[in-house]
Amino acid sequence: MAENILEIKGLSAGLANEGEEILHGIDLQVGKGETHVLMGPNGAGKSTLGNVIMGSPVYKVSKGQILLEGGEITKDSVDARAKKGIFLSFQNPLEVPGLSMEAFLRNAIREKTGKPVKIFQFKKKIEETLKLLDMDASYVERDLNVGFSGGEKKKAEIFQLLLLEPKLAILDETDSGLDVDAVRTVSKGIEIFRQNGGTLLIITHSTRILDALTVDHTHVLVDGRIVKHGDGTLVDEINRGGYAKYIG
Amino acid sequence: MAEIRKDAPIDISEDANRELLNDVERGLYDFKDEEREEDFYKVDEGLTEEIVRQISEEKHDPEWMLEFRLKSLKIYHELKVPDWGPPIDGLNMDQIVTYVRSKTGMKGSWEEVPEDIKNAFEKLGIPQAEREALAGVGAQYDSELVYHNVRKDVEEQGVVYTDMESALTGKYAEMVREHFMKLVPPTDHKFAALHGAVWSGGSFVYVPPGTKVDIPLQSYFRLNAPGAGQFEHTLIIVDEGADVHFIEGCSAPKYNVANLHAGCVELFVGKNAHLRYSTIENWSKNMYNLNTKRAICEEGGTIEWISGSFGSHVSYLYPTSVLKGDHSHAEFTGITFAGKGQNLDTGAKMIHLGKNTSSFIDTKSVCKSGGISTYRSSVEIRRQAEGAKASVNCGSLMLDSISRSDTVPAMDIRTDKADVGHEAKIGRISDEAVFYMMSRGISEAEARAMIVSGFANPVSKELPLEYAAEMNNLIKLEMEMG
Amino acid sequence: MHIEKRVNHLPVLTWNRLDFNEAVFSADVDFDGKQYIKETALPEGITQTAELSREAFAAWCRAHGCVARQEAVVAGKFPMYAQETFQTGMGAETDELLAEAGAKIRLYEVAEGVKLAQPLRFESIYPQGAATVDAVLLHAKKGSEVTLIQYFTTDANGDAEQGFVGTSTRVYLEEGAKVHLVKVQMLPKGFVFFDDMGAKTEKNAELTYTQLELGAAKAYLGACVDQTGEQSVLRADLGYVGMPGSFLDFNYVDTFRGKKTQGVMRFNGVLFENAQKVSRETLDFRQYCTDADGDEEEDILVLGDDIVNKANPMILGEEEKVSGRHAVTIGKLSPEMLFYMQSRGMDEMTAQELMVRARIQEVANRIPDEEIRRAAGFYVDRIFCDRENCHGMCRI
Repeated sequence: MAENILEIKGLSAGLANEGEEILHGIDLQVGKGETHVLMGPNGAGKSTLGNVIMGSPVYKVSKGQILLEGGEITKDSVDARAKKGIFLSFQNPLEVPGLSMEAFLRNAIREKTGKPVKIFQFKKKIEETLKLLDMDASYVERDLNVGFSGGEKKKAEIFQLLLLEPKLAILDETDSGLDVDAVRTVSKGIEIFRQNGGTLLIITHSTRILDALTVDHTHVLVDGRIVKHGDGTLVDEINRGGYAKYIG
Repeated sequence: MAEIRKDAPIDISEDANRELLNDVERGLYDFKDEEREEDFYKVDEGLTEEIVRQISEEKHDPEWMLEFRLKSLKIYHELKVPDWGPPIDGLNMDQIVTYVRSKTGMKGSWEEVPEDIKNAFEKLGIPQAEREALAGVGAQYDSELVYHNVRKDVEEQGVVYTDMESALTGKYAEMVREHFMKLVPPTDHKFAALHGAVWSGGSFVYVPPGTKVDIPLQSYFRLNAPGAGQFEHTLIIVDEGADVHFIEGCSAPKYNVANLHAGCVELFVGKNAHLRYSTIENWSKNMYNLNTKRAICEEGGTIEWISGSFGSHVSYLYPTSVLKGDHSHAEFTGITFAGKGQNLDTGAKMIHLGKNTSSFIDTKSVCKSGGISTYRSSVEIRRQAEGAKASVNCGSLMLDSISRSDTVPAMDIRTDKADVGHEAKIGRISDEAVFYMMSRGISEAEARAMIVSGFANPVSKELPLEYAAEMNNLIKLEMEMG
Repeated sequence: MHIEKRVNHLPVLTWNRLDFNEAVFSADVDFDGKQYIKETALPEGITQTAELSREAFAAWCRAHGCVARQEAVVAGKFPMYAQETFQTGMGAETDELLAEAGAKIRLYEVAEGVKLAQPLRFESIYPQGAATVDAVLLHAKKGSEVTLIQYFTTDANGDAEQGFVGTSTRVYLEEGAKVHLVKVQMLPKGFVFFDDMGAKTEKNAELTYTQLELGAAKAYLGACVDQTGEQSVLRADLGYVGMPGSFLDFNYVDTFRGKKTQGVMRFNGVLFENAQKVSRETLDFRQYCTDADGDEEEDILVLGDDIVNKANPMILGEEEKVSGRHAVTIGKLSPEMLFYMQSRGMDEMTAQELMVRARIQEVANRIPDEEIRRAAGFYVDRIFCDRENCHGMCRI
């Protein structure tokens, strides 16, 4: 097995303003360069896990540890985690009128590298990425997520993923509610990210984007617990049989 | 000057309580404005020291109360009539007979209440309501309470519910003295001073620590004498961890002479206590309703106001919540319906002093047949109120274009650690909605009434069932009237 | 001389103790009688009258101001309405000040049907100690189109620190005229500034008002748009930055009179520590303005302690068949926004800074002048550079 990029040990967490736990003692290892899929019925806590790994203030970790490349990040701030290489795609990314996507990314990259962004290189990278994803150049000039359709927002998140080049990408329901065109763009982006050595944790309950991907490991989350670990074939099994055999 | 006054830091330690309250009082001056005397309309004073002394004597006031009344009278003469709200020119202070009362004293049993007064209340369904749903009832007729009764089991819990006059001299005299017009001082505005001078009647409620009263207490006020004023005082103290719901209902028959209601409600909500104060007001359309209501919440305390304003010729009504204790909370849910000849200026004030305090205002106003309805509010978050949250939501529904509806929601925020949201909407009943309902066989009038009732639903759903029904009847009635 | 003016009246009054009903604007100033305006050459189709007499000014206001008809007297509300023959946001006393300051009143008339592609730019570069007031009347005749940019600034390399600068603009839009009025204020910290605006829109006219307020110690702004003509449209955007210790007081009133009139007002502000701001925003639906639609929004990002942040967004309704909304949001960055920004690697400080830029840029992007847009960007850069938290982000 490859060296672990993400390791979660006995993680329990719940909403920060309420006592109740949503995740109960999660154990998970994600090896470098691997593609993992986290599946589970609605309300199982899939999105919670993604958010907790990113450090969302909405949730509070009550027990356990999160390690990135062997170093503990459980108490790290959100931006520290991002700088260390975690990326979370948002189901509903926020809109910022007046801030172009380009300016936003330039700031994000400068923060990450601690160096001013070389404009020429940056522009070139943007152009290449747009081309790879077959996306319109106007994307980067438009205000961040403002007036984007659902599909456009998800494509924009994938575009950010490729520009920010994280080590681990957590994609949360990235394919829900997308049209065929958007699914194609998203799948392509994911494939490129993977080819460049990126590690993926895909949170999903549908499987359209998985069709084109080789999945290394699958985890089934039910009621805040991982009830089954398996390989890529588990995805097909669940597609056929659903979650019924894992519930109760 | 253009500079805005910055409020001085307020010490919130126990020792500084007195000063804190003073500060709040100063901050709550509404009708006061020293700089622009020439702009004010000044009323002639129909009130003399002699009248006030006479009232005090008849009521067997303790000595301090006479002094208080005289001091208030002096303040009354010094203060000016408000210049920012609906006109009250029609209110001739000379003609307000400030003290009118029935010759009979207060009764403990319904049978003893004189026949004519009883009839008036029977029509309003008071005893019936009491039998069905209330823990205690007080009924005030003109200036004095004529009826007062508390259920035994509630009494046994240690809950005190009595008329103000008895409270002044009874077991809780000291407590009353400590609280009386401390939250609404006579200096607050002209009509608070008037109240301080001539107040009469009203209720005193004390709920001991940890006591939860499951069924509501109720007071009903009726003003019957033409050209009279009603100045009842309601003082409610809910001690630590206690919980109570108080309902007041107001009404008056129509006379050609202007009537004045300048009551005062002071609510003290203790640590982690909870008080819900509901009002359905249906004064006759000749009433000047210049009522002052205020609550102060200690740490973790909650005040909930439910308010329906249907009556009066002119209303000035803005229940105020002073969120003094950390984590205290206030909610105001209200509806105002202004019909023909009515100018109803209503709303709420929220003053955040404590940390992590929260307030929530949800109001609806409806105007029709030339009625004027103004939603007026202020949300103040002081410097020390870090972590405060406030939200205001108000909707206005106009039923024709000879009426008027204004929304005047001021906000004054002095800390960066606060979250404030405000939303308001004005509009009309959509033709599509009426068409849709009519297509299902409902008459147009009925459809419109249903839509207005639906609009008022956030308020009615907070009321006990029979009051919600009464409110819906009032809406129907208002909708039917030209 | 000592001036003291009561300005920015709330269209209906509220509690005096809240200090909202009006602002009192006072200063000791000796007017220098100078003009500092640099104008772009006037293209064909627009004529200028360089100095209107006071009588001609009054006559113009009478001729083009709102027809004085009996207003519905709002019972008990002191009608501040129609005190001027051509109403402005700051009110009648500002006109007194024009006279006292000996302001030169310039009239610009855009001929019927003339569509000016290039914006007119009036740039005022003030020296140290400038004390001046100017006034512009803009008359856009039937179907004409014009963009007027008024830019108030000082020489970037100069020593100007203090001054008193005021301006008054009235715009009359005839049927189908389109005017974009832009005001950009980037004065140094020691300046006192006022900007009074009044407009009237006839049938199908469109007024776009873009205002960027970035500097000055004290600024008073007023805007009053009378939408007389049916289907006329107003789009107003104000972006402001309340620097530490600064004071801003404004009064925007959109009066809907014509049928199917539309008005949108957006206020985007940032307040740093010790900044004070009073805002009054009113949608005033007059009788007979059936099917009018008004929408107003204020969003205030508060980035420092010890602030005074007052807002009074009002809706006045005399007409039933209208739709009006207003919303105010006050606070720090929302936790959701912060989380999103941080998840892409930015710390809180950077996220805040980006939001400030975004707010200003959003308004600046509406200005059809590349140089001014860039200057606005630099201005914001300098805010962060002057502040202790500068972390090399600026481009200076």
